[in-house]
Amino acid sequence: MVNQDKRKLRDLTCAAALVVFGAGIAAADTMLGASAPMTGPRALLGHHFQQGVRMAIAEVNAAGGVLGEPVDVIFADDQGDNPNFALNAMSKLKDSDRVPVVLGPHFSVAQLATMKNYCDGTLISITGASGVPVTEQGCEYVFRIRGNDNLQAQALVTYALEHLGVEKIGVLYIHDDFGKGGSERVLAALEAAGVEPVSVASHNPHDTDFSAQLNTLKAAGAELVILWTHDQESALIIRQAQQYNLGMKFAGSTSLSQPTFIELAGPAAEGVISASDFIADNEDADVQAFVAKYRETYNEEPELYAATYYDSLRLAAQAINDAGSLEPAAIRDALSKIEYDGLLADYSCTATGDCNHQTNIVEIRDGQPAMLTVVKFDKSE
Amino acid sequence: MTVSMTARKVLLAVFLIALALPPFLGANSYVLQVLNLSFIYAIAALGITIATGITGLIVLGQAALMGVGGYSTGLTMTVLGWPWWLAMPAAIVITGLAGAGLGLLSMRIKGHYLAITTLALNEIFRVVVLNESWLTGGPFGLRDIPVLRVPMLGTTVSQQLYLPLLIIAVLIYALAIRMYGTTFGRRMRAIRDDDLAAETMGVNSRRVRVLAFVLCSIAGAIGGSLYVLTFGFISPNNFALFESIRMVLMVVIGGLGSIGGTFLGALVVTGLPEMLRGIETYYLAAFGLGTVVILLTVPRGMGVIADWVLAPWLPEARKSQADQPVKQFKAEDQEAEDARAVAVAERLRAEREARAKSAPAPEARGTLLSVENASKKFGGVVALKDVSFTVQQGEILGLIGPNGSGKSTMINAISGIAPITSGRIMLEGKEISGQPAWNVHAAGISRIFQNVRVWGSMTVLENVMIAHPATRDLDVLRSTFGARSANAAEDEARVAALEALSLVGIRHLADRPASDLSFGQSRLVEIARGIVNKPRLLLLDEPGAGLRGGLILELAEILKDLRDKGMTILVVEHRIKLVVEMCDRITVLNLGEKIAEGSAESVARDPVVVDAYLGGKVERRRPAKTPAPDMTGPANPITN
Repeated sequence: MVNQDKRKLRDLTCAAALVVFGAGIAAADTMLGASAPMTGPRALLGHHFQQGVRMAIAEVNAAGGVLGEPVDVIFADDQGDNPNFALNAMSKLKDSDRVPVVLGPHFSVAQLATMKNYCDGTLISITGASGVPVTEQGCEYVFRIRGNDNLQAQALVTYALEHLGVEKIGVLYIHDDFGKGGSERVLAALEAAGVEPVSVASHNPHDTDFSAQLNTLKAAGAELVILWTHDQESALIIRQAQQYNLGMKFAGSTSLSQPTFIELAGPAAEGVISASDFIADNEDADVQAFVAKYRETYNEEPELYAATYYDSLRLAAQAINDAGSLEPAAIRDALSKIEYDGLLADYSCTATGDCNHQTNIVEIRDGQPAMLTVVKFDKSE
Repeated sequence: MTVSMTARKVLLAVFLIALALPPFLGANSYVLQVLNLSFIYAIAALGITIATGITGLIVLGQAALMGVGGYSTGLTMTVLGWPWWLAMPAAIVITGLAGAGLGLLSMRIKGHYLAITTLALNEIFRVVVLNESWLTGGPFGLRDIPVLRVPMLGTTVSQQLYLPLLIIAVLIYALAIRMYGTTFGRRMRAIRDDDLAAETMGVNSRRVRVLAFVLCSIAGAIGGSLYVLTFGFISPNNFALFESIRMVLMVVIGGLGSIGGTFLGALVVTGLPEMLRGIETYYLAAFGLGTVVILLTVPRGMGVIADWVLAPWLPEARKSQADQPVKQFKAEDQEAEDARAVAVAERLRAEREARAKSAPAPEARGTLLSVENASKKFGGVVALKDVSFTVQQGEILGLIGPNGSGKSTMINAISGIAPITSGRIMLEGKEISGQPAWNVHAAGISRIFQNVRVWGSMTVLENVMIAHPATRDLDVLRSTFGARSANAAEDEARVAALEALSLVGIRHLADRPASDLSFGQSRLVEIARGIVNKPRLLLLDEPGAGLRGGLILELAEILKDLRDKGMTILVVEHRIKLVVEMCDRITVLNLGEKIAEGSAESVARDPVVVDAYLGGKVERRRPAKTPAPDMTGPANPITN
C-alpha cells in the first residue's frame, strides 16, 4: 500500500515535471498513442485497456520492438463517450505528440466525432468501437478489430432461435447510444429471421428499478429477453427477474459476460447467454497464455477491453514492422494485407477497415463465462 | 494603485492582440483547437451569464439549447442543403423560439423550480434526439455536415477558423457589454435585484424575462452552430448534461454576472484541463482543486479582473468611482448626512415660501384617483372591505390607520402588484385595477416602498433612469446597437434622472452603487426614482419609517415642493406629526374598512378613529402599542 502510494507520488511528480518542462519524452522510443477513458464513469474500462496495452508493449519490446526500437504509448484521456474530450485527446496525439498510430478511441461516438480530424492521413486509428457507422464513413485510416454490433446481434439471434427452442422473444435495451444502436441491430436480425418480438422495452441510464419493464415483458409472454445494456444494469435486471420468479431466459450483449456483471448478478447469472468477442475460457493456446500472464501480472481477471487493446498494439507493431516505416500510409497498406492470429479473432481486414469477422457465444456456468460456440462470418458479410 | 481608464483600454487591446497571435507564433493545431473550443463555449456560456447572472433566472440546460442550435444548423445544411450563412440564422430563429417558450414558462415557474425545469431540458433534448433517429441520426449523430473552410488562413480547420471564431466571440461580447449598460441591461438587472420594485417602476418583467431567455438561447444557438461548423459532427453526447454543468462552471468561475469574467471562465474551464493532461488520471482532480482555489481566493471569480479591465465600458465603474475605494457608510457620516439634509430642507422651504409670495398654490382641480368599493381577500382574510375614497388633483392625502388596517394593501392594490378582488380603481376615468404594475406606472402612478427597495447592484443614476419613460419602450436591438433615437432617449433619461437626484439633494451620489448607501439615502433614491417620470400620482408607503432628524425634515419639504409643482400624493404614514404637517386631507382605515375621512383636526377628534386606535371604549389609558392620533412626538416606527 505504502509502496503503491509512493509510486503514485513519484508518478505524479514526474508528470508534473513533464508538464513544466514540456513533452520530455525519452527520445529513443517509438511513440504510439492511445485515446482511452481514464477518468469519469468509464474509467474502469480504461484501466483494463491500459493494462492490456502495457502487457503487449512489454512483449513487443522483449521481441525486439518496432523497427528495432522499443515502443511506448502515450495515453490521452477521452472520458469514453464524451466527444468533446475525445476531440481534444485525438488532437493532442495528432498535432502535439505526432504519433502515427492511435489505439482507440473506443466509443463509437468518440470515433465518429474525431474522424474528420484524423482521416486526412496523419494517423491510423485501431479501435474496438462496435457501432456500425464507424467503418462506413469513407475513412481509410480506421481499422476495427471487434465485430460490429450487427455481427453480434446476428450471431446471438441465430443461436437463440436455433438452440434455445424459444418462440416468444422480448427486447430490453438501455436508452443511450450503446443500447439504442444495439437494439436496432437485434430487431433487424429478428426481422430478417422472420420473428416478431412480443415486446420491446427500454430503460434509462442509472435506473435501478426495472419491475415495470420486466412486468411488461412477462405480460407479453416473453420466454427469452434479449438484453442490450451495461454491466451493472444487466445485473440488476437479472436479479430482479429472479426475485419476481418470472422464469424468463436472458441473452444479450457482451455486458452479460463481463466480470462486473457476473459478480453483481451472482447466482442469478447462471445460464445467461451472450455474444462476446473475448472469453477467457477459450481453448486457444494464445488466449490461455494471455490469460495466465494477465492474472500473474495484474492479479486481475482478463476481460474484453484488455484483450482487444492488447491485440491492437500487437497488430500495430506487426504492421509497422511489415511496412518498415512509420508513415501512416505505409502502415495502412501493411494493415490491409495483414493476416494475424490474435486473441479475439484471426484478423484480416476488409477495404473499409473491418478486421474481425467472428464472435463467441458464451454462457455463464458456475460463475464463469463458458464458451458455447464460435460463430464465424464470411469476410464479405 | 490607480490605473487610468486609458491605461485599461490599452491593457484590453494588448490582451486581445495577444489572443490573436497564437496562429502566427506557430502554435500547433491542438492548441488552436482547444482555444477554438473555448471561444465557442465562451459564446454559449454568455447566454447563461445573461439569463442567470444578469437577469437572475437560473438556467441549467444551456447545452440543450446549444444542441438545438447545432442540430438546426446541421439539419438545414444536410437535409435542406442550405449554406452555412443561411443555416446559422435559421438555427438562431429556431432556438430563439425554444427560448421564448422557456421564457413564457418562467412566468408560471420561478426560482429553483425554474432551475429544475431547465435541467430537464437536457434530458428532453437527449431523449428526443436519440429517438428521432430518422432525422437526427440517433446515437451516432449527424456525421456529414460540411465544415467551414477559410483556406487563406491556414491548412488545418483549427488554423483556418481560429481568427474568425475569436472575432465573432469578441464582437458578441462587445454587444453584450453594450447591452448591459443600456436600458435593456438595466431592466434585466433590476429584475434580478428586486422584481417587484422593477415592475412597479415600469419594467415589463414578462417581456424582459422572455427576452432574457431568447438572448440566452441565441447565444446557445450561435455556440452550437459554430461547434457544428468547426467539427462537422454532432451527437447527443456533445451536448449532455455534463456540458451544461461545465458552462455553469465557466459562468461561476467568471464571477456570476460578469460578462468579461465569463470569457475568462471559458478559457480556464476549457484550457486548464488540457494543460494538466500530463498528470494523467489526476488531471481532472487537479482541475477541480484549481477551481476551488480560484473560488476561495477570489469569490467573485475572474470577474474581478475582467470588470477592472472593462471598467471604461461598465456603468458601475464608468466614472471615477473605480479608482477610489468604495466608501462604506459609517456612523461618522451620519452627522454630515444630517447637515446636508437640513440644508436641502432649508433651501426647499425658502424656495416654497418665495413661490407662495409670488403665486398662490394651485387649487384642487377635480378627482384624479377614485377607489370604488375595492375589496381584497387573501384566502379567508379580508384585507380590504368595500373601501371607497378619492384623491383630488394636487392634494396630499394621508392614509392612516392602526397596524393591519389595510393601508399597505391599498397602496399595493393601486400600484398593481396586489390586484383587488372586487371593485375598481380609476385614474382620471380610466380603469387601472387589473392592469399589471408596469402599465399602472406608465399611466402615471409611481410609488415608494415601506422597506427600501433599491436595486443594490446598480448605480444610483441607473436606479433612477429605469423609471424614466423615454427608455421604457426602447427595445433591446435599438438600444444595444445604438440607434440615434435610442442614444437620444438614453441621454434624455440620464438628464432627467440627474435632475431628480438634484431635487432630492443626492446628485453627488449618482455614480455610487446603490448598495453602498445609508438607509436614508436609499429612501431619497427611491423618491427620485418615483418622481423622475413626473407621475400624476405618487404613492408613498411610510416614507418616514426608519428616518431621523434632518432627513424627516427634508422629506416633508420635498413632498410639499412636489405638491406645489402639481404632483398629487397619497401617503401612508405612521408619524402623525408628519401626516398632520403635510397632508391636506386624511382617510382612516381600520380592519380593512374606511372609518373616517376629512381634515387632520376633524379626523383626530372622530370618536370612531380614537376607538380604532385605542382598541374599544376603554376607561383607563393603558400604554398603547400603536400611536394615538393626537400624539405629537416621534411615533413608533414599527412597520406593519
